[in-house]
Amino acid sequence: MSAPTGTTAHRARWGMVIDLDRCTACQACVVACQAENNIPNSNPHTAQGGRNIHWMEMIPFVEGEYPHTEMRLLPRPCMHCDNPPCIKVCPVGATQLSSEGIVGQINARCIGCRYCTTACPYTVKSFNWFKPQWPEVMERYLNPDVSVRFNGVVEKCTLCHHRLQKARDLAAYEGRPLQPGDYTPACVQTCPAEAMVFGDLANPRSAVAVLSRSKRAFRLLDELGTEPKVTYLREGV
Amino acid sequence: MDRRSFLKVLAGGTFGVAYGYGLFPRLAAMPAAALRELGDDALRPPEERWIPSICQQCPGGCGILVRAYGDRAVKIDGNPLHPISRGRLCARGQAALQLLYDPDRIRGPMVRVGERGAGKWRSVSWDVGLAAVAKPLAALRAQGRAHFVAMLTGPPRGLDFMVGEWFMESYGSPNLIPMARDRAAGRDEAVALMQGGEAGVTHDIENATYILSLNSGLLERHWSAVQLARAYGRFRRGRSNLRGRFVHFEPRLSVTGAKADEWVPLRPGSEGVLANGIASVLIREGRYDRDFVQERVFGFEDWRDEGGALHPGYQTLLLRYYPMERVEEESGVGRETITRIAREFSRSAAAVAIGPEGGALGAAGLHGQMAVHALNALVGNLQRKGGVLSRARMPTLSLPPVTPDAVAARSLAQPPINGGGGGAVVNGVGSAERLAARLASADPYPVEAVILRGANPLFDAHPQASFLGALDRVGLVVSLASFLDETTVHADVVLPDSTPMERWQLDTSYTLQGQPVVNLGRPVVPPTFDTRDANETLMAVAQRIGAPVSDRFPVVEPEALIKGAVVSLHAGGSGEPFGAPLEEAWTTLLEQSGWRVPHDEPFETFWEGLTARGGWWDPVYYRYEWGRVLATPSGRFELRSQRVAAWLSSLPESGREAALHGVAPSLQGLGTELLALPLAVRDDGAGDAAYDLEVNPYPIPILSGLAHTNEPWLQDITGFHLYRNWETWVEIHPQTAGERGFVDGERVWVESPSGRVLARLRLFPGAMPGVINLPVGLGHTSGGRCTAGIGDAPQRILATGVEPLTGATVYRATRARLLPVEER
Repeated sequence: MSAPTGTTAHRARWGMVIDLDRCTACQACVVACQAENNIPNSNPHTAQGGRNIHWMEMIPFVEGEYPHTEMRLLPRPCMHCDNPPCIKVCPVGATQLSSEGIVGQINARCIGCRYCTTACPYTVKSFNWFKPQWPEVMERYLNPDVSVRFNGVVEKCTLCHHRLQKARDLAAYEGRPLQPGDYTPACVQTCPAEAMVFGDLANPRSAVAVLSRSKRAFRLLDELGTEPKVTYLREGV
Repeated sequence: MDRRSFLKVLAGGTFGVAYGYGLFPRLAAMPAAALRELGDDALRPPEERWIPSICQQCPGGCGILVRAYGDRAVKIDGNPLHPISRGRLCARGQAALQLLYDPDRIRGPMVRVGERGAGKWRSVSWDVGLAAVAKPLAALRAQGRAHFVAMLTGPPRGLDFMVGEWFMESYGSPNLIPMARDRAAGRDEAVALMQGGEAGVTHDIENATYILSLNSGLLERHWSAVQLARAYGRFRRGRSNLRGRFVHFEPRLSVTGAKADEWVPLRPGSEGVLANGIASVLIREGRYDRDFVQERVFGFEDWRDEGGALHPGYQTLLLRYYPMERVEEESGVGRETITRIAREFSRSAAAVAIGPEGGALGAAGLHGQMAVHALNALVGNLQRKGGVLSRARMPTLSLPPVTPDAVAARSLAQPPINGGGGGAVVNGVGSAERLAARLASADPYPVEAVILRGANPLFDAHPQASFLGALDRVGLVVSLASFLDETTVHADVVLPDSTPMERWQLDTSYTLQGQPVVNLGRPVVPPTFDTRDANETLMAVAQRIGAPVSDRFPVVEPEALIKGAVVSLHAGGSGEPFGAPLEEAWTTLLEQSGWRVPHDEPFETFWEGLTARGGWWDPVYYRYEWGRVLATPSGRFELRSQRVAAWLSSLPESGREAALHGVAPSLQGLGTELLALPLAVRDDGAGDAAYDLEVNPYPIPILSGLAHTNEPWLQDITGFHLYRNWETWVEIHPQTAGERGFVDGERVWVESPSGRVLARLRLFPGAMPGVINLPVGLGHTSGGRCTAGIGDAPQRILATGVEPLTGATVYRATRARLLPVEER
């Protein structure tokens, strides 16, 4: 049963579980994502125009009347749908579903029509309205593994697939199959509450597959038929 | 292979993976022919390493691994071997890259040209800069006025503080003054009064079954956010068939409130009153831990003095002064809720009560914190799993002792400029307000030179104007800051420090299980600008002052300095360098079975372990060292603090009355001896009727604990729950705003008797009617493009007063009103 080196034994299906009962809404995932993926900094001007870019964002839902007000806080990455509405509208094939289930964005193909930003029910796609700029010396922290996007294209969460490439290379170099834990997106890696679990949904015994079958599990806007691969576990018993 | 080296191989394996990441794949992915053609040097990517260091964004003490790509730092993650961070990191830690590569950092030594505070500088060489400091310091010393020099520092811990002490002792000034960064909530002082000792306590969240949070801000402003989040995750989901229950009281629906099972609105500043209300239910219904109270608690019952007079104990205080009507009225919480939650709290196997956390701005006060902490004693959770744990002793780290020369000795014998003025407890941290008064009055002597290092009193002091006036009287202000903060703007000479990832560091912290941790960090990247480690700067100053100061405070390489400081750690024999959890369990098991031989490896091996893994800790924690846990005069948990009682009896009757007035203006005529008990009152700040709304200030979670906020990643998510960022907002209940004609999104003035701030009004159904919720943390006037002029600083409109028991200036209940900005 030897898998080819650098891959999993079967075709992987990458997915994520976010346990809202553990989550403290600390936003470590939000900032880790900005740092890992060379996302342009915001400023008061971009903020006011609603043009800040976040691949991972903490979404608040405030419900009810005082004193019975409730607030739900959802960390929201790309859902990496198995049936993604965004790829259907892209006229140039700039956004695609990979064989392992990652919805990727090929920035060089993107013509900036923003059909996909409209089609995505989770609003995870962001348009680069401005030329990405970092002040002198700040550019030094840019991640050498991730290219900076130019203005006029759409960008989104890639599940840190550059990390997958690296993990594959490393496993191939070491002559072994890809193992659980070799590949983890930046948001999952940093989560202080251990609320995020990432892995191969195609392996029914993986932690992420087991948790996604939990009776607390729900998927955002599942009724639209998007088949998201990010599963939330609701709070409470 | 023995156990130790076997475990080392295991731990080494973890690191091997971390280190190997990155370099090989690139080579492997290239076709062999292409490799040959390129030649060795051309294809070699910059060396990539993960280097252990310490996160210094907040005092939490997380160990980090920094991904260094050549001479650049490109990512920060938690150090997997570190007992506090365990491979995880919070948003602030992630954003430390923006502190390191802050384009608005001070780029080299500067001297002031033109008026003080005008912000006009001339870049100078280090030689010129150092001379500008050393000359006046040498002159003062020659005149026998070395004590006219004061150094204001950050919290009294770690290498930087130790070097500050060393310098000041060698030079001859008793004025090394650690400054409080935020106005402590009074919890440490309350614990010091009730349990004695100075190390403080932690709460074993991970193993608790019930958290009773009285405006604790637990998930937002805990002193060590990463380990707290981990513990919280496990509190909820870490145990099969047991999910901890979490009840939270706070005036507004915060993130902590949102995550709690039950959020109950609580009127601002009534934490202590509510705690006493809950305690009175426990007592009336007999739901407290009688055994614990009998064995370990002092002051529960009434007592008779030698003269036969009856004095009230805790029980009488509660039953007499905290009837349910009063608690209901002051806290705004219904009696059914209070009774139900008191019963839940007492029934749960491991219940813990937590009062306002670090950085809290509310008016709970020291007595309010005492009232909350008393609940822990009532359910007897001290030192129990899931309860309150007393921090173990931090081992001594030491630098060479100094024998001051005759000149220094004379100056050192002078009273410290900031000394005295305390009450029953002195928290060891300087009060900026007291210092301002002393500087201004030149009492007991004038201060001619101030050295700033890790303190920014012009932003933290209250009111800021008084400190500015005091600073103006000081002849020479030297700043060793890395950033142009509000106080550094008023300096004469700036000798910039390198940022944490550019220098050697040694610092201490604690785990949530009370275990001591010593963190060690080596430089990750070379200094980005022409800056120097401030310890080296002080040494260079001493060199220029010359002998005998330079003999006593010689130039020592930072690495050698740290190596010297941890010799005592090695010699102490306890604890070990960080290791895998398996190693920790093994150590604990062996030592607790009496089998463990304290580490016997040579110092060099110990040192290697320390630098490779990022530090030292002692995983073995002894729960039942009651002498350490309850270090009070009675050796018990003091519901009636004997320290306060002794302090009260040392005062004249008028002093006692004044103290009572300071704590409870509304409760005059009570016996002043009640001050030794958790006499919590709610101060509603009522005064001028024109100011019709109560102010509830709260720290912005994402900025809490930060000294430096010029970080766009964080500024972008300050008020995410209301889609607000890059400005100050104010949360108002829709009805409160509507009655006054305000609409969502408009700009308003929030005006109190002491001033006004500009804010964007947001209607928020999680706000209590009649309360203005104001976020604190913005409003810097200096420090860089992403912080200067962003938002407003509400601290300056808050009322302040002096806490009689500590002598510190604290925030009090404040009333304010809303005024429109635009004409209507």
